[in-house]
Amino acid sequence: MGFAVFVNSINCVDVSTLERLNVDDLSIVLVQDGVYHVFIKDSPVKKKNAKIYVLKEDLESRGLSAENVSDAEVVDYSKLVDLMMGEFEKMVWL
Amino acid sequence: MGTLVIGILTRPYGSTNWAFVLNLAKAALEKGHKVKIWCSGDANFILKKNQKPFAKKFNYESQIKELIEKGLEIVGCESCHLMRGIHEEEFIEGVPSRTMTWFFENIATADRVLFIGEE
Repeated sequence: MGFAVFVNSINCVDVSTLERLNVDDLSIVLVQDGVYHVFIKDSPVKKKNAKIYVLKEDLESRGLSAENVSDAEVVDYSKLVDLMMGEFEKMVWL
Repeated sequence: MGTLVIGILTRPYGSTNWAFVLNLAKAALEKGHKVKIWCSGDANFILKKNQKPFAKKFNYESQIKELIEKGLEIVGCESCHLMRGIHEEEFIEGVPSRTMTWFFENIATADRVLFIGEE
């Protein structure tokens, strides 16, 4: 069962909740200021065994480029809808 | 196609949650999904009509009206908006007031649910 966690901020990631989360098929979706996590080497987001997605429109509105993103999949709203209505059966907003 | 129900507690300004939710709803509606939004707590402030566009451009009211025309169903939580002194007749046209029963019925039958808290 696909479980997705949405992270929308840079500072108050509820690390303890993220750490306690014990899910097999985990995805972390970075939106709004959460996109900055992609550029932080020791971000708590990267310590989870999870597939990481980052919202393209929120990267670009912050002057960031999808080309500089590594170890995360850049998705736009359309693709995010497909993920949400497809593999993300359960979704949580941190 | 499926039904996505979004519950949101976030106030309209001071956070970009609403920009995200409305963009997401637009993308989902355009893909043929049904989208329903439950406004709880301070989120009800976004439903007031007669919002003056900021810098002649930024205006939630017009975005919400546009999405309602595309098929969005967005409702205010009755107890929350009344607590805040907002009455249904002050809502944007096409936005009704509903009780928690509406929310529970809709999350029980939705294909996907996302609940966004306060900032």
